[in-house]
Amino acid sequence: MTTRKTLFIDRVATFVLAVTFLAAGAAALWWWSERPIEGTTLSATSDTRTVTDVVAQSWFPWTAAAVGVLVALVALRWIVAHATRQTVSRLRLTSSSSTTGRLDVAAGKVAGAAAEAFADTIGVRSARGTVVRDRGQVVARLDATIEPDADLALLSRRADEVAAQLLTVLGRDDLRCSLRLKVAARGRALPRTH
Amino acid sequence: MTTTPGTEAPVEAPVQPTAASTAGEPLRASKPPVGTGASPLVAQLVALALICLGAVAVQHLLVETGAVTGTSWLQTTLDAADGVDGRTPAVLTTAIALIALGLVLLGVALKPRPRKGIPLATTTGAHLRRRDLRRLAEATVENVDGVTGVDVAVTRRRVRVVATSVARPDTDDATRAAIGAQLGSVLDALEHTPRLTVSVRRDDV
Repeated sequence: MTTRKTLFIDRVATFVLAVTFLAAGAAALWWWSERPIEGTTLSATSDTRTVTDVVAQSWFPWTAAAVGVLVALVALRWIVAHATRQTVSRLRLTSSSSTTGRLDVAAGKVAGAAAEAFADTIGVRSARGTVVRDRGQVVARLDATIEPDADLALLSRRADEVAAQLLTVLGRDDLRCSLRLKVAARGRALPRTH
Repeated sequence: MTTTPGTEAPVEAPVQPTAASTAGEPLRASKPPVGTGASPLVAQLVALALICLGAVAVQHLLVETGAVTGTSWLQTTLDAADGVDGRTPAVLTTAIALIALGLVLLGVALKPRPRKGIPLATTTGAHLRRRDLRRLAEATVENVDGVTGVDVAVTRRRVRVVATSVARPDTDDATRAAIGAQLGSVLDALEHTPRLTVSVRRDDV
């Protein structure tokens, strides 16, 4: 899962790359057409002498290598940012106070218990629960796999019941809930009775 | 049950918790599930390209200091780029490819994040994907008498069902009505009931 910040950076980078490609493409088209734009034309053949002169300077290899390593490290960090998970491991209960002490609860365990409760519903094959940060919200996320012949209306009612139980247990009004249903590709083969 | 290690600091409760919720009220719905689009893929390719550029710079230094024998990749590229004729078809091809790629990337950068879920009629947030609704609809229609095959196409606003029937042609209306009734219970459980179109195809065997 990717954070909003990483996604924003990705979008900006994609936009900059797109504009760069468009500008480079337009410049190459201009070069190929040999048309003067406001009286200017590009030379018929390319000339990299200026760049070669800079590259030949004694300071260039060290500077380029230092900048190159820095850029590579930042790029590596950028790639790693895409692999970070947004799982929340502990939630503070609202009953925490300076007199009663701090009360933390293992978020995954509570969400897991909610998922187990939901998985007991007829038509639900399996379910698992986690608590994650998503777009500025703390979300109890339940992922359930259901049978193709499951009763959606029943599952909707059960989803509300389980979400209500979660609220009762945690007492956290700021916690949000997201139940994601997936339908199993094939119905489970039930054991035959003879 | 999943207990993946994650953020270590506990998530703080709001400073001023709102009035204790009335019993039986479910947790509020989270924001609807969305995909990420293609920009992370593009970004990771860019990052990979930047790492390659770093490697080129380091190789140049190693060649210059004599730590590695051979020619500098940077120097080779500069030599190759020198004296290229601008009127060649290769330049035109490159120009067109760059513009086309630029337009595609512009689309990727500006496209909103795709919505991934179809919401269920719940107080809390519950969603299923389009393909899941299709599977549910197919399983439901397959149970209707006389139907031997079914093809379902689902969008966020529409569900189109093409059922293959082996029953007598004069029972098509009844089959259609039965499918509509069966699917109605599935579609009514969604927050926005999609429009249902049912057609029956004959399977003359």
